[in-house]
Amino acid sequence: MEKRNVNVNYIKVNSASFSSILSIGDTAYAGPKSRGIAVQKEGAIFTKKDEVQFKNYDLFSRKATWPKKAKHVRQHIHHHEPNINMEYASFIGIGSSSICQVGSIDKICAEARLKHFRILRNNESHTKK
Amino acid sequence: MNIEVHNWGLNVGNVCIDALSASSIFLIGDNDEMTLSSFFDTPPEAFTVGNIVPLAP
Repeated sequence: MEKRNVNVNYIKVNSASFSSILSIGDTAYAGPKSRGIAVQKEGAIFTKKDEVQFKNYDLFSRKATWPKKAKHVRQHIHHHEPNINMEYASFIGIGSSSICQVGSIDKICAEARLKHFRILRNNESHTKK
Repeated sequence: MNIEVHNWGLNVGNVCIDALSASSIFLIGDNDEMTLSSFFDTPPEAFTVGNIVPLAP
């Protein structure tokens, strides 16, 4: 499919971290995958016992059910205006394998798996307060 | 299925985004095919009292 040009006058990115991409130009295939466990603990004294492993939780090994491929779609796209214009784009944080793309991407297949834990202190400590 | 798209013009002024995270994509441009999958798990027992007991793998 014929792609349009992109003109961005001003782009400002504060931080691009944890294998994220700020890409200017065209891309054929993008397949970002990210896995994360967030542990929130009252008292915030993290010990070796708080270590969590991806392999302990089947959320990270479960197979993803991808949507079935669409039946044959005949698509005609007419770009009467060859350019996409943008004045100003500003990002504070681009994190955990995210992509900020100025230009086109043909195919994207993205996956994100996130698990949260909130650890409160034992009951007696609540009653003491 | 037939689909016909006529793009007459795309001009955007300002975009300010705080955070892009967890394999998300901010695309200024064209795209053919996009398949996204996400798993999010905050089970009721996500908040445990005392330390974490890992489940049997």
